[in-house]
Amino acid sequence: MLYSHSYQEKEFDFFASFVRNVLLGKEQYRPIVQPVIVDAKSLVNNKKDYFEIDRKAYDLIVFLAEKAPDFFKDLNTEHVTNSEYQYILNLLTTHPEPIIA
Amino acid sequence: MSKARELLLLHLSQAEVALDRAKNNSYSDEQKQQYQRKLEALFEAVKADSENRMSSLNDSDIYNGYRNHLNFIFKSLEFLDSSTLNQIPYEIVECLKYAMDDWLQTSDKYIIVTSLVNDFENFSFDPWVAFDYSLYFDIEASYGGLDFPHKLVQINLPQAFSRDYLALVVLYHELGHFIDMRFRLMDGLTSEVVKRVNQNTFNIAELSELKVYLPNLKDYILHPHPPPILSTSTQAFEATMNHFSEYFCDLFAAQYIGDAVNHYITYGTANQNRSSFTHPSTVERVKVVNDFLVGQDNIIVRLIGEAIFKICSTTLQKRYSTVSSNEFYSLVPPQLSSVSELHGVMAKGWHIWLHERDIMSSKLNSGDTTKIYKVLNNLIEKSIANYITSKKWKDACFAKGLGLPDIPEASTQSDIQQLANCLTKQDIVDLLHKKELVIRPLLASDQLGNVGIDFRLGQDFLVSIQGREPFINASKNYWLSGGANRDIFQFFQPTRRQIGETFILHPHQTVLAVSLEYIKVPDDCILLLFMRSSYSRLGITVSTMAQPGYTGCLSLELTNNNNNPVNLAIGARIIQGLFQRVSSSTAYFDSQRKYVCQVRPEPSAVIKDQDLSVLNHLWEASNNRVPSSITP
Repeated sequence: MLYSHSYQEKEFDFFASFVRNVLLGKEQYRPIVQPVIVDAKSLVNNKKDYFEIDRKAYDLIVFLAEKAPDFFKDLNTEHVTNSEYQYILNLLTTHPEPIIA
Repeated sequence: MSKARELLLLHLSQAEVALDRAKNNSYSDEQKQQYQRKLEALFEAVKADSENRMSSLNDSDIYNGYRNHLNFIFKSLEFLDSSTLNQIPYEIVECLKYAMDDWLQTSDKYIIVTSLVNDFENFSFDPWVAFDYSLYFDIEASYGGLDFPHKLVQINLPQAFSRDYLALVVLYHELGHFIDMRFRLMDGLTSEVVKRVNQNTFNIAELSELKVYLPNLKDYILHPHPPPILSTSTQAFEATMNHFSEYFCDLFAAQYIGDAVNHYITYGTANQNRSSFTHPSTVERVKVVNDFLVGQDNIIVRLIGEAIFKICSTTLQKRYSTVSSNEFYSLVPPQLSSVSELHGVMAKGWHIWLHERDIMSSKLNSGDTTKIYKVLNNLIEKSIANYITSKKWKDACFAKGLGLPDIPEASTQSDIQQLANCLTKQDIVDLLHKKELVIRPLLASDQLGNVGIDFRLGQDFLVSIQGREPFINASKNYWLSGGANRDIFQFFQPTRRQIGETFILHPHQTVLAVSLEYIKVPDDCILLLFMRSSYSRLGITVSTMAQPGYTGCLSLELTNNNNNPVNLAIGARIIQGLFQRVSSSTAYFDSQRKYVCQVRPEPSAVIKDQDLSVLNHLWEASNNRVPSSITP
């Protein structure tokens, strides 16, 4: 095969671009970003288990929760600041290992 | 202009050509047609948007946006192109749809599409288009709300096995992958199991059982991490999840086809007793399925069952019924009464192949295994097709407010009709009740006339095509050049239609069709077939009959003698048949038959006539020719 790029990897690329758009002030992207952040926090705090988090954004939620549990643990999901979005974007764009989730 | 922009232009041109070609696709399912129109709209949107912004585009816009959107068009077309009327094996797809409906909510809108591939092992589910939720969101956000309400469930199957229902049971396993990924069942289960190992909540017996079925879990068992640390990005985790997924898909399939899935896996993997990174050992896979089917406690079945219940609110359960009918052995497609029997018919087919092939062999009066293989697949295919057709017919009658009168009662008198020559309605009814005559499906009782029965136009056709050979050689004489090397089938092109759809018969064209009904003619009757008067008046002719004891769909050689094309409805009553008694019973399979239990049209097998060899030898001998020096 000439190249391979799994749909999960593309999902991360897309999500990163959605976060970038939120940072640019494009409000239509917030509804897809926000639930992922809320579920990542719920998973970290054991409010939801792996059976209960959103199935459609499963990989993203698990990745974020595992990557930065301390960050999500106390995150105010009602009011995520731009610097916090930037931190999430960095998590998504600086993972060197292949995504396996 | 940047190189990325140049490549985008190339990509746009490629997509335009692909979509232009796809415009010729003809789908029976309007949802697929709509999907393709959406693809065309997406292409126009990508083209317009990128042209408007071309001077200001950066590489990221192209790579993360337009390139992905165009790739989506290609990926969708890859499967849509294969799912046109002529190619889609709709019988198995209908079975898979029923299974899929057991698991999805009504709000889920998926279309099963297939790709027939030239790879005999490639049964697979391609998740690319079904689950790329971010892509759909991105398309919607980028192009003013352009949405794809229906998603494609893309299943690959080998072209060579597209009518092999023993092999096609594997597709239930592949559908399991779709369900697994739709609900992220085994991802969630693996994480929870690893978490429980880390928290030490399994007992010793459970842990030792888990180590057998999930060998990669050993790392976690030997070195438990204190919670909440859990990493899903390790080889051990991924291997464990892969194994759980395969177990799930085996169990998913076993719900519908019993242990049939085990047979194919065992042979395909040479009963592998070692696990790989992607698959558990076959020995363990087979054990898990068998334990599930007999209700034996098994930790894998238990854990998967619990996960399914938590996520999908349903349970692992046997969702097929054993087909108890022995009609297979009479070479008749069993009449299936429920969806659970629809799934069960494939398990029945495997049972016959493994344990009762000799009964079919005896019935066919042939030890030819390939003949049994073909007949068995024909019977499975027709029993599925009959179930689907009958259900659609009933639904349509109900929608039109029409009743479905039962077949009349059998006569209480016995034998008084034996001397009658042409069978009357009551004779036919009596034979149907005694199952000496079988007609399936018999969609409406008014097909039975006073002295005969109407048959319907079936869904499959062989249309003659002109190729490079100058003629069809219906002799064994090969001295006339040309026509020597081509199989007669090569002069025909198969095509399929759905019930209620139409087929255009062109002027002076002959096509091979079949009746919708699979029939078994009584051993003491011949069946004479004529066009119904209404169709004869359109200039269509047929010339055929069926021998005593014949089993199969009726071969209909239709010719349009009209100067105008005639559009025929699939399922229409076009043929009338008259049964005439013969002086004594004959056994159809006592002599070698060329056409056995056919369910789709088969081209002429004239070349198998012994007479032709004799005639050719005669000609060669009397003309001083070297005997048969030219043969195909």
